[in-house]
Amino acid sequence: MSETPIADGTTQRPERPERLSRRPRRLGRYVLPTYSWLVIAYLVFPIAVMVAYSFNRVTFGLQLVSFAWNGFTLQWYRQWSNVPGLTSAFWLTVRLALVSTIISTILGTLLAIALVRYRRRKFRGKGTIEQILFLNIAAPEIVIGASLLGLFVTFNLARGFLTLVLAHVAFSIAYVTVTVRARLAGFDRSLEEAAYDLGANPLSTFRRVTLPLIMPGVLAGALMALALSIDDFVTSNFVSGSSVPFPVWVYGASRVGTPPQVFVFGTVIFMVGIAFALLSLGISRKKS
Amino acid sequence: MDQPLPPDHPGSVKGQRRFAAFRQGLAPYLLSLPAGLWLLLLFIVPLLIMLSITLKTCNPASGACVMTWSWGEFPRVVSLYHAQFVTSLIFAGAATVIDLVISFPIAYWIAFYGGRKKNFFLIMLLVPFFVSFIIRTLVWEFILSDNGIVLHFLKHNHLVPAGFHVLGTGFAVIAGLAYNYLPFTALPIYVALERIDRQVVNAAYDLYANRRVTFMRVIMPLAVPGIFAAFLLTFIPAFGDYVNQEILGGTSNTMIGTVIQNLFLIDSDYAGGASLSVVLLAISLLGIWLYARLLGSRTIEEYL
Amino acid sequence: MTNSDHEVPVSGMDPSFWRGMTQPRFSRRQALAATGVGLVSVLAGGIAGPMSPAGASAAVGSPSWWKGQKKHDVLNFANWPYYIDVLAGKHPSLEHFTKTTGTKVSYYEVIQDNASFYQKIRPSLVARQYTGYDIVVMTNNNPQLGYLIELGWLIPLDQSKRPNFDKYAGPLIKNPSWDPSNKFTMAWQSGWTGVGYNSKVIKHPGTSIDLLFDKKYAGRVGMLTDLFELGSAGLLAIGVEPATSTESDWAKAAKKLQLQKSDGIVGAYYDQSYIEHLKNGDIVVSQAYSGDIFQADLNSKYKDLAFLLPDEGAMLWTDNMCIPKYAENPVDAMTAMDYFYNPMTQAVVEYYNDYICPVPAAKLQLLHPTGWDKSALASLKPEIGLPTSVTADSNSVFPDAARVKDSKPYRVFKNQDEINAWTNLFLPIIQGA
Repeated sequence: MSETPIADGTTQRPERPERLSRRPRRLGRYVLPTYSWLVIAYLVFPIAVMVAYSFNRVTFGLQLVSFAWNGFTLQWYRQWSNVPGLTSAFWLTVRLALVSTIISTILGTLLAIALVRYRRRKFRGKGTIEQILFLNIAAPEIVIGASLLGLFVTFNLARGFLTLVLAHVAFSIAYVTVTVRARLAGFDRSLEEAAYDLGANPLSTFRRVTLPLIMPGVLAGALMALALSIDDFVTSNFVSGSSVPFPVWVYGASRVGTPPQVFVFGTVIFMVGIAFALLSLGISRKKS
Repeated sequence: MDQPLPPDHPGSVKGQRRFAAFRQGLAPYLLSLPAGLWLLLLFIVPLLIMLSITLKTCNPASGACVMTWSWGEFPRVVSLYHAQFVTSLIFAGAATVIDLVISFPIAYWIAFYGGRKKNFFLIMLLVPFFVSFIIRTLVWEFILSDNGIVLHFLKHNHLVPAGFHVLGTGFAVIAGLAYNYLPFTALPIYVALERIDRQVVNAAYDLYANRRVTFMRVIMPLAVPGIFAAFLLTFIPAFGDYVNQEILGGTSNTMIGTVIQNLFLIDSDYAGGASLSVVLLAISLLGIWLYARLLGSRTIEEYL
Repeated sequence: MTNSDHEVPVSGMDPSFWRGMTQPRFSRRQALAATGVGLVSVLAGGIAGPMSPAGASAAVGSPSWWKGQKKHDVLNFANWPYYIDVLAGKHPSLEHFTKTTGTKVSYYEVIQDNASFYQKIRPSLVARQYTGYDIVVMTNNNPQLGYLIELGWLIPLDQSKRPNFDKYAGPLIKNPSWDPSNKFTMAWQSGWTGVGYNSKVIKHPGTSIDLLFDKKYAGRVGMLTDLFELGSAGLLAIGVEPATSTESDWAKAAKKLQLQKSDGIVGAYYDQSYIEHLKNGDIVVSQAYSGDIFQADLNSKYKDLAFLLPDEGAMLWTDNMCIPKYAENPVDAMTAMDYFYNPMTQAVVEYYNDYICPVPAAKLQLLHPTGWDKSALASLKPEIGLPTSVTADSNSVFPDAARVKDSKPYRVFKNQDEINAWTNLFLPIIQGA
């Protein structure tokens, strides 16, 4: 996934009168906006369907999603925890996402600091690490999942929460590193130097000067790791044994029929995600 | 910014010296050790193990693998499954091209006309990512179904023949891939267009280039690295994808990802699955290598 | 099973097995063949008493071993989805079990198909660890149940602790061919694989399995991805008994199925999801499991779905409860398995399930409940929408002798070579480009 420029305002150039926008023509004024809104409608359409059908009544028989619109109900929101496997899968995903986000954010941030700060001369193997990061991001997910399965099978490691954490951190680190590194590039070293000059030791310098400065980048990296972990299906499907995370459970259940609660969880996750995004949008706007 | 410094700081000289030694010596290695180790043990080692599994013979009942140095696995799976590779190539290629065509204008519009709402539009572009990959694919299955909301409406109004169906066809798979990976295409293109210095564009106008010429000879060349990055970032995951095919596809459009998943998770054919994975990885890396040769190795990272 | 000089003792526990497997003198085919030999030698010799960890004296599953086990009041139960009574997110039958025995049950609907579930629990078994489940449910028509038995990965059941089973188990599932004298397994439910179709679209389905091969419904026919179901349907269609079929029959069946695909008759190959697609109208006829159609029928919206037991016969399968090795709560598992052979329990489960009931006496309970099942059935009724007599009187739930006689058993494979041959013939059909 690409680094999202939403979370900060730094990628924006200072507003400046532009000829392009000073001479808006039909293309810019009508055709492109109409087109763009159509694309956005296309992107939003399935989500709207999901949200709508989370409110659909089920009239008879098994409590599964069906096409017919049977009327509005809040039943599935009230009975959100009525599908035992789904609820436990959801909480497993929450636990898994939190644990793997914390680990991968710490590891990825440290690595990003090392990569930004030290040139090749001082840091042998930097090039190799960069290549590994790149390979990790570029490799098809099924290859990552399959190779991890090979590892766990070879070492007879029973699949469960532990293997899920190992795998999720393994595919998140590179994204965290890349994200944090991008934010770190413009880091002002003189502030740290000043702290040292004033007698702070490395640890307290890091805690009280460096960390607050790089915090927005770390946060962006953590959000990325969180999103990747919550969403992951392919790798999880390979490495989950008896502990089944949310996407894997949903896929399995969908083979015989989807309970409406799946759409409830989907809607809630969507709302939380959007709230986060808009919040960070608000923050970055306030800053600039 | 203005963090209060420690109130007392005994021995500033000592601190400075320690800092210097720390910085000079082990620091980069210590900082990168945990992540490096993790990636080594859970990314590089697994890839090597997978390479070794291609030479092993595995017992389908017990799952135990023995090194037999059987080199025959690669030719076997390639001859068995080359058609699925071709299908994947076509589907992923078609989805990527569709995505490029769809996303360029919107990325262009946001980059050049987005104004203060740029970030809002970017969120709208990313909206699919806020719903689980698996759920959004399932919702498409739901939508495209024969009695689903779209086809039911079309058939009810006799806009399409009663026997018309989408689900199970290659078209449905391409549509699913295109939807799921659209943001992967749109963002790099947007980043590339965003980066274009407006003064360069204005200079073109000052030199009396009309809009078409400016677009073709100034904006497009500057956007090319972004378009290439978008192509790779969409094509590679789509090429290895199996979820869309499993959920939306039918009988004669099996993609290579589906085969790999089945070999590993259902047939216990670890050697075959590993061999196909290695081939898949090799093809993906070939694409990246070509990109690096054409446009420089650094540039793609800027779009990640 | 050719190279009998390479004898490999197959036992999950026996270290010599691993030594055998790690000798690099095998070619791929030889190794597979040797596995076949191993399977047979184990079948012939029975399971050698698996070694217990830490030198405990009693073999796992022996009467003295069972005597040493304690009840833990915890049970982890893995089953297929929508396979047990549900009321408002809870399972009345399991609730009652907890109430009477004090054992808290975690019920996981995690089994989508035999092969991939086997894959999920196998690493634990190889590592001699608890799989996370005390009861798993495996089907007799796939090789995995056989693998579990032959590799010594199931705990022999406590014969003395199943009074309900001894008293109420029906003839269909007592002492079955795949597990003589129910040493390792007790049936959960059985069912037929036949033909499900939409009676609104198909007015004259006929009585033959040829319905699945009818060009009239090209692109609207569903077949199952399960290779043993798919292959059996092909064999029935060419008029061969699956149980006694030979490899050359398989090739003919595969050809028939390949043609069915290349003629564009098959819309897609499905796992459990065929039922959703049948309901959605994506397909109008499909290979189908009897209970699925029955359950769908209960919904007035899908009452057009009908089940056909073709003249050629319908395949009869049984899902079996068993206790994987290293299970932490074998006593609770044993108690629960026998609890499901109480006619009252089975009446509640079957009212929801509508598969073939392993307990014929449950029929009477459905009609005239005598115990706790009375209130359970009554509270389920608004959910199900039909009187219990519909289930009780159904020939699909409590089949008569004639119905059972028309059912076809699956091919029992003699060795791994046969399984490989079957797989290599039918896998390319579902996995074609």
